[in-house]
Amino acid sequence: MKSEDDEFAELFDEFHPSLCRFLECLLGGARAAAEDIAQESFLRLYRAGTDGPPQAEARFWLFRVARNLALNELSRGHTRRRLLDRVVEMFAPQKKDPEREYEAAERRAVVMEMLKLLPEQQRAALLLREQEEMSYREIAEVLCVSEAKVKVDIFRARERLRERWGRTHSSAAGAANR
Amino acid sequence: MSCDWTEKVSLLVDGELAGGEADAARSHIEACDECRAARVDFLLFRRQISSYSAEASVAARRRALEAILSSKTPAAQARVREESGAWPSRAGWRERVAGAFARVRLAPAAALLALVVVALGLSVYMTSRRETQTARDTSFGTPSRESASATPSPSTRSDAPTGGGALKEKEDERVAENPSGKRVGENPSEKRAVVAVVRNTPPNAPRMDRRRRRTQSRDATQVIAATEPEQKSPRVEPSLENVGGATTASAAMVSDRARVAPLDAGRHAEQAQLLLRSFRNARLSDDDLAYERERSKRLLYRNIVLRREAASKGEARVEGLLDRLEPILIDIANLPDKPAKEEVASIRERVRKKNLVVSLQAAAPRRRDF
Repeated sequence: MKSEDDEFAELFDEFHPSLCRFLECLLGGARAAAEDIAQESFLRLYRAGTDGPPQAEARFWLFRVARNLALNELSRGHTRRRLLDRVVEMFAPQKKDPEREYEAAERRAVVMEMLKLLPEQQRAALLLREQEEMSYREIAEVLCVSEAKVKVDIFRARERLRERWGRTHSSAAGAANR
Repeated sequence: MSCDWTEKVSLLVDGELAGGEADAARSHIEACDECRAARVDFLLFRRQISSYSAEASVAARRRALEAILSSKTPAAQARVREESGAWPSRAGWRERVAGAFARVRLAPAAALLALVVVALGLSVYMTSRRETQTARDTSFGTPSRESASATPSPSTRSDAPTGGGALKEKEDERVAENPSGKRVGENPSEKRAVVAVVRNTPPNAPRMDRRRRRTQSRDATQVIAATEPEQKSPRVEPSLENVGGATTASAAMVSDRARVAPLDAGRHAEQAQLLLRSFRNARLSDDDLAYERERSKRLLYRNIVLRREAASKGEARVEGLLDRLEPILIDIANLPDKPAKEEVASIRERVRKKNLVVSLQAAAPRRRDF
């Protein structure tokens, strides 16, 4: 029989990467801050123990807490975070495949540029939909809003992206195909 | 200008349209160039956003998990039980008294007073006991304890009075005797401890602020306590959750210090880093920083011990870091139940200025160096 810690470790392994990714995108690429907040979210879940959410709800609970913590983070110390991330990046170990790393970094930069166009509510809703594949009902639960608002936010986010990026990408893709 | 159906397209790609609506939207998309383009764009965004990879290192994830799992202390568990009301509290008299002290802000004075009263009581008791013993020895002519001992300890004075001695001689005995029956300073470990106390307060030491002095005095209490014989209680985490405040904990420390689990400085740095992050991210409305206060109290003891160890080993870098951390731990531990925002903000600002989280983060993984 698994101990509580084993169950928690499984849950941690399952959701930590996706939570970090969500937070990193939400925070505009601040990886160190994202990892901090992800850790803090899991710590709160762990501390909650039996008072915490049921296991089936843990994922939504985690994303909700993490997003609230990220909002706090967004409201202060942007410059500090960016500086810290640069320092961390500078001292990060060398990558094995620089070319692949470069491509991945480029892709990340494109996504980050896209997401920066969006207000936080829309960004969070779109990320939960596209990365976590949550339904509108689940997103509404995480963000503590109505499903109708989720629907509107996701649509507006896509429209906004289309205004700035869709046509550019479509035309670039069309030119490449010709 | 976009088509009115574009919103339906958005719902369609998300699978949020019911059967009939979905069919209608698909039919429309076939006929409408604008909606077809919108669908292509929406799917392109999906591919780009979902392809984003965070790539957190496995080692970092392991460390994070370890740090979280290690945070499950008896104190935290007890607090969760108390809050959840899962079963009734079985706090002992000491916890209840400490809890009562915690509710009022007179805790430091009360703890000090309690300590003084206990010390006086012990002194009076020892005096009366010795006088009774002396009187009995004198009355009945029985030999003194020292001379009666079949195998006298090395510390037994050969010229010990056998009865009715001068007051000074009695006092000498009192000072010399401790529960192990040895003189303080004769045991090598005691000697080291006493020397450490002396080193804690060098005569030419610079003037310290009040907080620092309080910390030093607690150090001294611990060191003196270390001269007592080791208790045989199990070595478990100290249960400090019910102690009123860090500066009021002297009495509790005397009884709890022997149970402080050994911990290496690297792990301590990890836990302190976790605490500072938690403190930094906590909302005042959440739980009034109760968790952070308790954790600070616990880490404070270890910090003091580890700082002294680092000092004795000549590890200046470690000592410096722990020295910077200590006042922060004291301040967090001493926060009231409902701390003012300014107070919390001030501590957070000091943490930021001292760059403590980054320093601790840098120190934590390199346990060998740290």
